[in-house]
Amino acid sequence: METFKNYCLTRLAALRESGALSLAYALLAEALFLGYLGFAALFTVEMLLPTFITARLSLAKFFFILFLLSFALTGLGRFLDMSFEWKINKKSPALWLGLCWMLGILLVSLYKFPPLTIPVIIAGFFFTGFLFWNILFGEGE
Amino acid sequence: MMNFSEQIIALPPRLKRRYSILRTLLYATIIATVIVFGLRVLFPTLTFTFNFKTPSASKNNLLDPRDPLGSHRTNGKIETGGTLIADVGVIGSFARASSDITLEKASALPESLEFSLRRSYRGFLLPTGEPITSFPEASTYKIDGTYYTLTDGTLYPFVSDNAYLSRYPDDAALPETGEFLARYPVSENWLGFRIGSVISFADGVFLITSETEMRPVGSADIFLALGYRFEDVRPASEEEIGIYKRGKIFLLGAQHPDGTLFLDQDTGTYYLLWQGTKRPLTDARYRDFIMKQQTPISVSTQASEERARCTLEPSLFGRSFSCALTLALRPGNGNDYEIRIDGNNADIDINTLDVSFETEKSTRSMLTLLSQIKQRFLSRFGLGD
Repeated sequence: METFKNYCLTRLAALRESGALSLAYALLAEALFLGYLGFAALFTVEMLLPTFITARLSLAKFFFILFLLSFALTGLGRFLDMSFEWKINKKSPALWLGLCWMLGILLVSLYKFPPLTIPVIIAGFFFTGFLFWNILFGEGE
Repeated sequence: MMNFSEQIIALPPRLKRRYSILRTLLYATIIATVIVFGLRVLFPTLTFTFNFKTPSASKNNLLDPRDPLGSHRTNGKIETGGTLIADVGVIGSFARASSDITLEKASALPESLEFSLRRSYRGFLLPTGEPITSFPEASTYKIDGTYYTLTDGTLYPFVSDNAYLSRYPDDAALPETGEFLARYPVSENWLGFRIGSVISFADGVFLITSETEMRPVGSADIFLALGYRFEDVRPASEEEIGIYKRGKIFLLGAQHPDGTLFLDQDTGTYYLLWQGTKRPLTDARYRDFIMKQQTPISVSTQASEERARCTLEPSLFGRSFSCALTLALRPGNGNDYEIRIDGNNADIDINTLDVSFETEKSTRSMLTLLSQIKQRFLSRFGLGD
């Protein structure tokens, strides 16, 4: 087992030296970025036409694969001592696009819900989002 | 477009060229995936399966495997010269169909095995029964504004005038008094609509499948694919539907209920489904009475007898057999396909049977799908018809 581990580490070190892992990291980051964009697009279609996508493609499996690849990317980044920073500020168009998309999805999904439950669901949604944000991006708090 | 090598990740200059090539490959793969997915969405291949080792699994969507006499054949065993029949209901215009059969390890390998399809409505493919030559006889009475039928010395009340009039004309009921009513016991069971009637309540459309059961139709598409017309749906009240228990949802591929009227366009013969047979309806009065309530579902004997067939060929490895055929069956006479496996010269034991339908790659198919998408989108937001 130890020999195998050493062999793997040696191979990984060699790949890091050759730059192949950096290349894989860059490509994986780009593929993931496109993957998440694709997921958002498919999710939007699913919201507008329920079962249209899920009858053909499992969105849960797709998201699970993206999630696993995200972990792989994080692991690879740590190994290579590489990371990239998401510079999200109030002026970032990505932030506003994301917010508009989220609002649109919320409106579509809550269509025909009893009006009184809508603020409760929205509050719950943002509270959960806030918690996740703090867990994932909170720095040492 | 985001360039991860420059904006986020600093790659050494010697890797730039390799990165560009791999990136191009990545984008080509993504574009190819999107195109393939798009084509699969626009022109889907619909696959139906039956695993004979788990016959009650919900994944099995080939319906009712049986022999020609109607006995269940869910164990997958077909004796030499025997036949396996199954059904599937599917909406769309299909260019090709294919079948894959995997045999059990212990099964003999046949030298010949045939797969064939024919298209119609399941109900119309039933054997022809005795002709109906007269209006169903019944002693019906109208007492204090309520309709009754007298059966075996008991008076059965109708739940409403609407329900009575779905079975008998108004003038068939003899007017009687309360004295007559006192002479017979009155059943606590209410009579409802004629079996085979199509009724609506709130947003749902229901098929009356027996004296005590009604089944909701799965969707508007399914309703239309079954050959029904919305114009023939009879609105019902809560009291009227209250006498029925709700059966399982009526989906594509299900057999029409008893009491359904078919019109064979080739011969002009009307058929009424009744207890596992389609019975020619020769009595003009009864036929006209049903037709006042329900437009007959159009069928064609000739079209239903057309078969597309192919010989299942063994694969190089394993115990599977497959074949594909061009579906040149006449459209417009039902959306149910009867699948038949026969012609085997050895006793076989099937593990799984898969049947796939490839959507015709035509502008017409694409426009049909786009129209369905538009309709679904509008009805999602309550804007459809």
